[in-house]
Amino acid sequence: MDFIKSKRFKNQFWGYFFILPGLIFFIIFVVVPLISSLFLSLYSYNSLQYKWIGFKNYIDLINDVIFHKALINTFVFVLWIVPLTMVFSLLISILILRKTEKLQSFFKASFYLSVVVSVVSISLVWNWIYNPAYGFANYLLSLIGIDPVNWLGNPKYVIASISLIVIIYSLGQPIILYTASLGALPDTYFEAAEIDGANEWQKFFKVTFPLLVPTTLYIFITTIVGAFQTFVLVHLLTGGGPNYASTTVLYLMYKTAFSYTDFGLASAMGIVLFVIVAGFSAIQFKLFSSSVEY
Amino acid sequence: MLKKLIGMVLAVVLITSIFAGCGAQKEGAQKEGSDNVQKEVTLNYWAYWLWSGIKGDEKDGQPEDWHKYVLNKFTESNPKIKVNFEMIPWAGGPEKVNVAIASKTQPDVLIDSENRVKGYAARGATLAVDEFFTKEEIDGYIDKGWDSGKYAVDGKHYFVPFGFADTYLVINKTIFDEAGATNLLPNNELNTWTFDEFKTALKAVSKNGIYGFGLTAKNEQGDSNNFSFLFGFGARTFSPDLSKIVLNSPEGVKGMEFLLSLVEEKLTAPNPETQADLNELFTQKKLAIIGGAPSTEDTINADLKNGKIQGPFELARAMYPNLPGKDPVGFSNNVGVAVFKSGDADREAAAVKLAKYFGSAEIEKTIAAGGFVPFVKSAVKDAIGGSAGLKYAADTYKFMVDPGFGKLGYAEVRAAFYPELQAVFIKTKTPQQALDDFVKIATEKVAKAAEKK
Repeated sequence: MDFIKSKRFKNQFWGYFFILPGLIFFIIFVVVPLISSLFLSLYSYNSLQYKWIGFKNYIDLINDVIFHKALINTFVFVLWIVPLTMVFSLLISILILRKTEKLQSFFKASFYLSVVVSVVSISLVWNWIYNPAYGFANYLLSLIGIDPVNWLGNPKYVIASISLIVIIYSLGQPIILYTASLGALPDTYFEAAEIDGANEWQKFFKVTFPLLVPTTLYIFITTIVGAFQTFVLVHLLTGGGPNYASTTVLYLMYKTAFSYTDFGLASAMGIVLFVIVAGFSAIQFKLFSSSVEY
Repeated sequence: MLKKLIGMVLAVVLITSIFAGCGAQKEGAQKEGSDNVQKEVTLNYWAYWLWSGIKGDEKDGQPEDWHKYVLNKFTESNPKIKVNFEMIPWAGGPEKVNVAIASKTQPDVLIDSENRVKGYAARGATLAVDEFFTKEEIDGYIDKGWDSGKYAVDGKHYFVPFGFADTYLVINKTIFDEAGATNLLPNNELNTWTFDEFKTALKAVSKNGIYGFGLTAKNEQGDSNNFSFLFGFGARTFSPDLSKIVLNSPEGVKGMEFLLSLVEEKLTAPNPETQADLNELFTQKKLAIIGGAPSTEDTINADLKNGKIQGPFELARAMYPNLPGKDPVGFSNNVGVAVFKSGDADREAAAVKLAKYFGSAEIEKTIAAGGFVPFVKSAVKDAIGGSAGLKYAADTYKFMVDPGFGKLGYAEVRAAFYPELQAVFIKTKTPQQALDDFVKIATEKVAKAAEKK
């Protein structure tokens, strides 16, 4: 009661009041399912019957070669998608910012368009592009005398091929964020750098990039979380194949839960993925947050 | 102060009486509603797309037309039963049913394939329908027809048999005619051929952007067409008592080696595909032969009639290849009407009534447009009519082999097969290794399914 009467509570009340709707949704749709998954991962559950099995689902995952493959594939997806998305979005943003306002809007809208287009439509187009017999990609290769490539049917190319699609359709958001941040950087720093005789590279690496760290951190975390959750394109284009070469943890989780109704095992996979993503996010915050200052 | 207090009391009384009035009204309405529920039953009926239109060849036919036609007839003669109809997609539909079972929002009635329905039965989600059938009704089914709904584990029947569609090879004969290779197609009573004859025919047409055949190896459908090749060499998925998975037998390995040889010799489309992808390539005249069923022929014929496909496109049919002197084999897609448990006796009784109506001779006569041969004997002749595909399916049904649909965990077994098939095609495993791994994984999955039961 003392706390409710305290000045601190009065100061913070409206803040908490206004985030309450979001908080309620967050608790119902994120926290509760997360806790439910944690419990479910300790059960054998086939949608009708529960059976307590302790950590057996986790032990099964440790011994499951397909899960190992899915875990490795997920990391490979992250390694392809995250750095390339970061680099391309920053480069494109810098190039866009040098254009006139009308051209800037045009390019931003063009790159953002893929964000609002359905991934299903995108996958249909890319399925045609990658078709080994009749696809556009192989047609282009044939013009320069290169033999057709089985983009989605060859384990050597499948992850790179899917990653390319993910990178192209997910560039829009980072570009909008980077262009907004770049446009808002104070001129005084650049003027000071010029007076000190800094060249363009030095200005970029010593002034621009450090000032972009907060935006970069946000983009890095959201891209990495998204990459860990690669699912739709795998589901639509390869079904996890060939021979599990593009199966990700999320896809395996989906199949395990909804096709094979092993909700307990799928929940264990979800918890493992959650721990990994949370771990990565925590490390990133730790590493980057100390240098986030103006 | 007193006035204020009286005012507050009056306000509370007024508000309370308003709520009480509402409550009384609501209670009255609920009672009436409860009476109605006892008299009237509302069922949820889910179905996959089977064919468009009622007869299947209407120009503007919609996938839901036939279902609505049957449901209207049913509710006309059963006015106390209302039916909510929902069409579910083939892609993602089984997952939707699984989620519905988990969230206790399952349909009352579902038309679906044998393999999935038996999976629902294994989990205890569906009703055994034995007690609702008389001996005469059961005798009214063709041989093996009634038992298509039998679940091997408890011997009970978990769906009302609806129709069957054999998988066989559907051939674009025009491609063979144009290649001067018509004589390479089988021309005996049931159009059977050996593996060598089959391959020779593919070689004759695999040129100029056309592939002789297409393999389904992109998803769980990998079992339906590819198993038939392995079965043709004498392999079987399970031992006769269904106790062991034995597809890695020498016969199974020969079947896999044969499939690999088709890929290596570029006689098949170069990517593992889904059945829908193959149907599309076949429609575009880029595949000479596909694993299909009467519905494959019906779709092509309807598209030709509607002008969606330009002719000439003459169809022919053949069995999957088999060893010389042996019977041909295939893999039949049996479809039935399942009744889900709801815990409400009235609803379950009404649901069984609806399921039996779908399986009645009156309705069975109309299912030919979907490419199904009816299970009810008295409906077969009318249903087949002049359809060459349906007649072929009916004639060859006796050669169909059960891949193990009735076995607990079959859904996991078929899911374990196509990745191994892919491993063989991309040569990361030999046929023997792939089949050994398949048997190992599938056996573990079956054991796990038994543990969960």
